[in-house]
Amino acid sequence: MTAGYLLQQLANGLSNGAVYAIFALGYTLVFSILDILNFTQGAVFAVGAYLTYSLMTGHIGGGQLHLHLGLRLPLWLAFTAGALISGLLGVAIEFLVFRPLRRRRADPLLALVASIGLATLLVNALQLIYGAQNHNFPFHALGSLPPVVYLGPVIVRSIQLIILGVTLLALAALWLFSRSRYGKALFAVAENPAVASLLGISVSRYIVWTFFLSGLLGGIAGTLVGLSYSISPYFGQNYGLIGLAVIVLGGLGDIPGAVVGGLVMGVIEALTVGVLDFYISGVGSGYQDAISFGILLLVLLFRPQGLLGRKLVQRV
Amino acid sequence: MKLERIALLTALLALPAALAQTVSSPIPIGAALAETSNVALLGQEEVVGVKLAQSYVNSHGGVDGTPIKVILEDTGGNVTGAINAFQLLMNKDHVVGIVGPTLSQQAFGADPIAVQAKVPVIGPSDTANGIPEIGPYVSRVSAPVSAYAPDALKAVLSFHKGITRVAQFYAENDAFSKSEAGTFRQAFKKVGLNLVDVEKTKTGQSNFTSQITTALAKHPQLIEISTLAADGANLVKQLRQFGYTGQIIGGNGLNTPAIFPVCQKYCGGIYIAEAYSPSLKNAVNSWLGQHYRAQYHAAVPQLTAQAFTGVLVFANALSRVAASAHQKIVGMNLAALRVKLNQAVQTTTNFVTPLGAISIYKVPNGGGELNQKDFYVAQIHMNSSGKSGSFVYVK
Repeated sequence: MTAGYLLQQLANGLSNGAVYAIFALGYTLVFSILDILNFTQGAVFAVGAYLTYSLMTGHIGGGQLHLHLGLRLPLWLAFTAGALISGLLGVAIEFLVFRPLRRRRADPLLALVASIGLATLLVNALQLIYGAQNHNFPFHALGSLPPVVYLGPVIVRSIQLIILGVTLLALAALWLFSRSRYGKALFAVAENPAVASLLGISVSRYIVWTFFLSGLLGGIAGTLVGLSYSISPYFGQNYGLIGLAVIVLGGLGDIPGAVVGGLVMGVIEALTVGVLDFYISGVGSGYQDAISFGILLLVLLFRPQGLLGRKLVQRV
Repeated sequence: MKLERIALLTALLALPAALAQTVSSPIPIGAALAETSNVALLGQEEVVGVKLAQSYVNSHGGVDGTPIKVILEDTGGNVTGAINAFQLLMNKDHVVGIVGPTLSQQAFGADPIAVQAKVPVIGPSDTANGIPEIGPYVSRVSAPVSAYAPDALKAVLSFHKGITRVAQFYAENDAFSKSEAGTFRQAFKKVGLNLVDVEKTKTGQSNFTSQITTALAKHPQLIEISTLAADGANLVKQLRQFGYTGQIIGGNGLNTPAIFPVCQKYCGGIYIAEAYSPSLKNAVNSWLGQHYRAQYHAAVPQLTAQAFTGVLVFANALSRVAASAHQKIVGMNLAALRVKLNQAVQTTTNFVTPLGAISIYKVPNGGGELNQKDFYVAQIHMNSSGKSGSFVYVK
């Protein structure tokens, strides 16, 4: 096993981990404010990708519907519009599902189940409209960008590098936001909604903004992952479980933790396959999930608050 | 054990209803296929097949003058969905037989329920080893992968001399892919290939870069892929992007034009073992090709042809049951008809279908196995834009 080989596996892990991270960012944002797991994130992720696809190709459908939009936007514009509409979808989800449940003081478990229900509806609606077949963004979507780039002995798919860059950019933007007046107000809401309300902060408005940001990130992530592979109605669901593991590993509700958790999870998976399969074929790839989640369990035994999460202090 | 109990309970509940039930008109034939979930990619091709078969049979006089009606139930992508669909078709829709399910994995879970209830089943795409052995009421029109996988390997080795090192990727959580991969491994051994690496994947997986890096470090000259369609197509795309220039054999999962939008120009060159050729010359295949093209502007996929054949086999068997009983199918006791229909299905001999002339014979202690004469090897050729392509038959 050469150093070049290990570097390649490390790059594979980081690039896949970036996908996990960008997916988990939207997840953790809602959790950090409301302490609920929003399982519609996978569906919003898929909707975002389909929106960008339709705005770029000018075509909606493939399943029970065939519509021509009469316009084809360049990727950057379709991407922006798709992400913004996904943000609005996030807001709609807050109004349709989470806000009514909060008003009724429903158990957080009900919110979780309701979000799974809505996610299933959204995914099935996508299948009805676009069919079950995979759609691919046009080859020219990324212009003259080569499919892979060579960084010394390491090959990286260009789109994976873009995903890594966007993930770090999103993290930086969220960090800057957290330092602003609005960001501070948002985190005050997360800390204690009642006190934040007494301080004159409109709690419900900030919750709406949180869902918008979460949906926006979901839409961005969906398009980027769709550009990397292909899109199908169910492709967001595969990231649901791993996204959950990532935010637990990084620290529930911790935004930098979601990014670190995603990257660590990606690297663990890549090295599990890369090291074990190199010596005994099929062992690492066969037990990849068991080994990755086993490591997650070990980490949590020693750091129950996750890699970057704060230790909970029980005040008596 | 749990499945056996469910099967027994279902059979006990279904039996009195079936005993009293008679066959209605049009003759109901069930189709339990994956219309939703990530398996819908395959299931939707089969749905088209059974619908076209209904049109074909009814436009050719139905069964002894009585039309048939294909009743669809969605299985989704898992075993539970398949069991629910089977129960609905047997107990609510009172079908004479069932075409389905889409996956071998689902067949192992749902078929025992039909066996207990004595309802004939024809698997349209259940190619794993051991399907007819599930029970006496289970037959298939999908050739077992052992029948044609070695052909594809031999064809590739004859076109590309000097190949000695092979690697394999397969979806370990899919019964069919696992079974197909085992068959290919036996074939590798038989022709003396050195299996340098085996990488396991999962259904729904889209990133394969770690497995690819490991496999390519062992310098294979040939890679065999046994996965579901979209997963395999993504794998092919990433293999080529990571610089693999050797040959690729795709298993049955890649045997669909649905992979073209995913791997686009990278699909070019993949060899696929085929149990169906759209260019086979016979009247029923011409009819299918013409009507499919009119609606979908493309060549008939294998799964469409196999599902079409499943309904056709039932219709043919029903005609023979009617002829030997000298009475119409409609009005017959449903439970008794299902037993006779099953016997007729398993004595299908030299019946001309889109798959060519096929026979179904009874295996010891099991159901009906397919005897198909014609198999093919195709190579995917993509057009210059990389958007569409075709299966070019090389054998």
